[in-house]
Amino acid sequence: MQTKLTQLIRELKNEKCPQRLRDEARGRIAARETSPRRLRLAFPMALAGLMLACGLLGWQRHARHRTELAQLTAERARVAHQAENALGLVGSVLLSAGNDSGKIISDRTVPALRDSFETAKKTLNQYIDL
Amino acid sequence: MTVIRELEFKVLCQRHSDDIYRFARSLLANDADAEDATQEVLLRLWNHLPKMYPFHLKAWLMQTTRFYCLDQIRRRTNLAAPMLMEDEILDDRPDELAADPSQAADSSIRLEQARTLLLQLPENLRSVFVLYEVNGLRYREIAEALEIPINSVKVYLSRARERLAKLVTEEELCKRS
Repeated sequence: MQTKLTQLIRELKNEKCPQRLRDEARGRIAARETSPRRLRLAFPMALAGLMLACGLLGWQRHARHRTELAQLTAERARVAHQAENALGLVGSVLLSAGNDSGKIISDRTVPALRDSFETAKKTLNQYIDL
Repeated sequence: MTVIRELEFKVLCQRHSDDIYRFARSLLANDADAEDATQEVLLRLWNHLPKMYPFHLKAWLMQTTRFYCLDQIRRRTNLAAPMLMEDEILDDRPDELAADPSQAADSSIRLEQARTLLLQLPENLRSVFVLYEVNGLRYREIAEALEIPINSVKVYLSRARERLAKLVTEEELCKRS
């Protein structure tokens, strides 16, 4: 009986854990351990990428702002120049109109006034002679 | 640091995986479940390795195995799991025995008979018997693993031996008749 029991224990002791189980466990551990490592690297890299993107965006916005400001200044100068030209033109037109109108007035009214003055003088002289 | 941990884990795997597997197999009565349990315990060992107290390692491993196995039994309610068919047993033997097919077959049958006898014991007696006789734990370690007093370990072991001896005798009588 004791021999049988010893034999039974020996049989149970012969039972071995398959090698593939150990390998699989080590594989699962390796797979699990690499993902946090990747995450540990990914976080600073993502942060650096984000900072770089923010810097680029800011720089781009600043450059665009400067371009817009330069364009606005140039536009303002162009408008001022155009306004100056326009005002000059209006002034010259007014001056020329003034000159023209003076000449026209003198051409049209002076002879008529002179004629009427002469007529009045003749009429008065006639009265005096009489 | 990780390299040392990996090395330590490898050594502990080599040293204790057989014990874990045997204990899980005796509790779950199923090769696939025992393999799952062994893997799970090895993963838990890896997680607990940095804070592990080396003198309690064996007891901790057996305790973890037992908790996991009992949990699985409760979940699947397969306490009396069906025994494998003979063909499956022959397929599932270790590679070192496959060299001589007749020897491997004999060994498989003997192992299966031993498992069948062992499975007829109640869980507490079976655990104590496997941990002491098969895995070679001390009374103190078994008491720690099963969370019972040392005296209970001794009593359970004695009862397990008695019952197994009785079962072996009965089996012999059945064979003769």
